[in-house]
Amino acid sequence: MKRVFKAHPLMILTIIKPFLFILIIPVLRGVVQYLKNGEVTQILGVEMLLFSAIVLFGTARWYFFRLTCQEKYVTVRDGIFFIRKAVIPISGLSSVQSAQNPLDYIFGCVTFRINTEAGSRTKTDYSFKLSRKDANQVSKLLYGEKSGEPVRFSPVKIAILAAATSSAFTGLLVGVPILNSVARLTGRGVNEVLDQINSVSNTFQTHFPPIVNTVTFILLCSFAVSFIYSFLRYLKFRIYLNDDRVEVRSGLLVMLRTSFKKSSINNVKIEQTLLMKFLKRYALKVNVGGYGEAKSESQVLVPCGKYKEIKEMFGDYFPFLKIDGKSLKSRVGAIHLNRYFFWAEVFMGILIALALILGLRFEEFGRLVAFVTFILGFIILYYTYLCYNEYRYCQVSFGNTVYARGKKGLRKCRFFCPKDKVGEIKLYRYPFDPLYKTCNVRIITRSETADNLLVRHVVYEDTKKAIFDCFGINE
Amino acid sequence: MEELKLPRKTLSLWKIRVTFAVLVFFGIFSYFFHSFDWFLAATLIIICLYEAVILWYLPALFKRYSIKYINGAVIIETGVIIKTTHIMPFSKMIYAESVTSPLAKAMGLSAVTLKAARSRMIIPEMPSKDTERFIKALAEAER
Repeated sequence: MKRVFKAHPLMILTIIKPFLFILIIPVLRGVVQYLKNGEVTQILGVEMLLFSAIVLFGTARWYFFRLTCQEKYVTVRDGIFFIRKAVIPISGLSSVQSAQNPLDYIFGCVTFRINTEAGSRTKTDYSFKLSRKDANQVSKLLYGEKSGEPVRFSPVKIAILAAATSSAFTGLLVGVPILNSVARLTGRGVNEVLDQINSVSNTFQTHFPPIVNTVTFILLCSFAVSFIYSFLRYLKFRIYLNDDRVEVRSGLLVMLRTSFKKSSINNVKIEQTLLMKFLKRYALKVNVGGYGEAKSESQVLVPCGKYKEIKEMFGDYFPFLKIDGKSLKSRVGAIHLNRYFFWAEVFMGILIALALILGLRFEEFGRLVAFVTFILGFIILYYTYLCYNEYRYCQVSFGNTVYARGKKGLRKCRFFCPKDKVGEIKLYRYPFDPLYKTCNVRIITRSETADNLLVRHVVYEDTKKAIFDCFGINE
Repeated sequence: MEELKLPRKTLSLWKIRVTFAVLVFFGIFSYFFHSFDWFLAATLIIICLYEAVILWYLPALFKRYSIKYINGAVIIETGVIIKTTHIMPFSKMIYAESVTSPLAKAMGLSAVTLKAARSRMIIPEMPSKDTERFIKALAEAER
């Protein structure tokens, strides 16, 4: 059965959006000028002509855009002069995503994205606007009828995920442009806004100097912005698990609906951040090949849950969550434990030395130095705890599932990858490794982002043998 | 095994494109050049290079182009000075895309891009009908 779909007219706006802000203000000024004086200047006339040409170009591109769905493949036709016509087998699609922002909602359309593993790492393969009805039909044609009962998560769990994935840096990235726009709209400079923040933070009487209060205030505000952003993004989060595909829906202001094939999943990660450690909860993420605009190719499936619950919920659905190979662990003993602590000791040494030097050299900033040292010291202590945890529990195994357990940044991580999805296994041996007959193993997934996990200080010969046995390699 | 031949029109299209590119380059170049002697010398070099490309390089490239469509893969052999063989198994191909420029469309030609993860293979302009047939065959091929 062949079905042809046209794009929604709002796509014209999407096409001309990059040019809109350059041209719209002079054009509006020209219109006002014309209404007031009955004439427009030559430059504005040219701008209006250019604006009309861009609108005409956008309209023509929208008019000629076609999406054709057939039994085995979809065809996307785009362009006016330089025409691109892609024939994509349905089996080659890695994910299909529909997003609806408030503007889309008003006009009754969605932004539809088609992704394959052949696309750019940071850009979706094809993105266009479809009416809501057409988007539902396309989804049905590509991935069958509506999914069964969804798995839902409570707002509390969503809030935990939002808090665990939020950072002040993300908050700054989101908040500063908004702050800048607000300042411009209200006619206030950014400096004025910063002065206000400064005066508010100075009202708090603490042992620490005012700069610490200001920085803390900014960081807390940024974190709050990031938290709200993440929370709204993940709100109404639910997943639909079908035999051959997974569908994830989330979002309040921007409603996202993503479908991907189960076979596109490269690996599964069960992670625990510091906040989740206190709550004894974990998050489950999957790495999907060619996954849209997300640079990480990562999709959260369980925002927050107990480890046992997660394994029970997905044990049958992802058979590779069952570990079948022989487990290889770190060597035991005080020497080996000390090797895990090496970098933590180095960092702590540097921090103490720097704190002493700066504290003695700049006495007037003593309290600030103490504050920064305290914060960094806490992070290093947490890192030390992760290293100890890594020493006790890190392991790697090679069977039908390649499993690794260790840490990734400041998170505990368990990495499950089907044997056929492993891209590369690297064994590193640093100067002391031959002495202790150990090595570091990095398991890398066969994907664009090369998702990976490092397991340190495992026995070299045993690891090498396990890899050779697993992949049928003869030396 | 099926071997696809590029039509003579493709060679003409390449020649038109090169001529157009040289004319654009020449226009920019003449605008910035003020000394007549240097302008004359540079023009002579450009004309020689242009003749070499039109009379030798493009026909040789055209002759060398070989597109084989075998069970399970597409093989393209190309290159005049550096010869290249590009093999793309169907199992690795994700999708195919046809690309048409206004000039190629006027000549009834269109090119094909075969896309795989982190790689792509470009098949130069073929008659549009052949392109459609080729893409359809690729899309329906067993993977």
